[in-house]
Amino acid sequence: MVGLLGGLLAGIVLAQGPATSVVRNWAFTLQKDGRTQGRFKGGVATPVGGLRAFDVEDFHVDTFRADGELDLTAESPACRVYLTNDSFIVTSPGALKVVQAEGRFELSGEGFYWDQGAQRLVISNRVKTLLAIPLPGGDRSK
Amino acid sequence: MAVGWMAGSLLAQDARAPIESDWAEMDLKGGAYHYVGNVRVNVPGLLKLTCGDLLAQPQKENNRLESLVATTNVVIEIVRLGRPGAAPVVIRAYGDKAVYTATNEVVTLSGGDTRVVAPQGTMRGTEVIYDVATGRVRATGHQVTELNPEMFRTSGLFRRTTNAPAAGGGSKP
Repeated sequence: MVGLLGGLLAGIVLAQGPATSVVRNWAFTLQKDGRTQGRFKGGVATPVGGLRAFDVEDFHVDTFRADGELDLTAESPACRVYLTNDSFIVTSPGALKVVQAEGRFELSGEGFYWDQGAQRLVISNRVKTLLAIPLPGGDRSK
Repeated sequence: MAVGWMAGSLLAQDARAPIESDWAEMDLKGGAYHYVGNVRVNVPGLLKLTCGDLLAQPQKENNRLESLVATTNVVIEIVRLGRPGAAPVVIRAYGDKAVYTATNEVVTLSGGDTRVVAPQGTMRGTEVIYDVATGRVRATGHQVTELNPEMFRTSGLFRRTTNAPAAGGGSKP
């Protein structure tokens, strides 16, 4: 469960000192229903308003599908991570880059809101995407 | 940043379609992408598209692209290979709405001022269907086709004598 995420982050923070401490070079794995949902790491994490939100620098996450295969890899130089009851939300006015492991798309933009629980990502400015489109006359059986 | 942006990991049998817009929303589970504002798609040598709103929908069974639905001031520019040694042929299409279906490679244009402009002429209609694979264009319902007169320059179809006086001719006073 996402409690592991909260617990890990909280544990990391508490292990370093008071809840308002800054944590550096952290990493943790988010598990839900016995499977890995995401692997997170970052540079500096600063708790914001308790242990449910963190301002994170050099944010990196790998998310995984239900079959365990890598799905998305995303990075943001600076963002805020909110822990929800069963997942997480990442938001920032800054940059985001996402690569889909199978090559279906790659995207970047500035200003984003990523609700992993709702599987919804909104990018507000300067969106650039590379989307895989079947070529005319190409193999359509795949 | 460790993410290999534009690193060339896309599927080899697919075209890479760079899409730019002001705003976008992705359904990461269903795979649908919604682009809004100054949407531009540019597949070099194949396709350019500009519109105000673009929705990309995946196939449910394999999550590959199923359709593109473009609305608001849609302009599509398609480049096709010409005759050997000749320059590529550019076809431009305009409409309020364009739907591209990947499975049958058909673009359906609709709206008030729908038209397809090719070197041979312009086809106007309320709905124009362009088959990307064959290059054929057809319109349903009322349609008007304007052929380019250049097509008949060497055909002899409209070459005929006239009653106009020969150059330099005329009666003496």
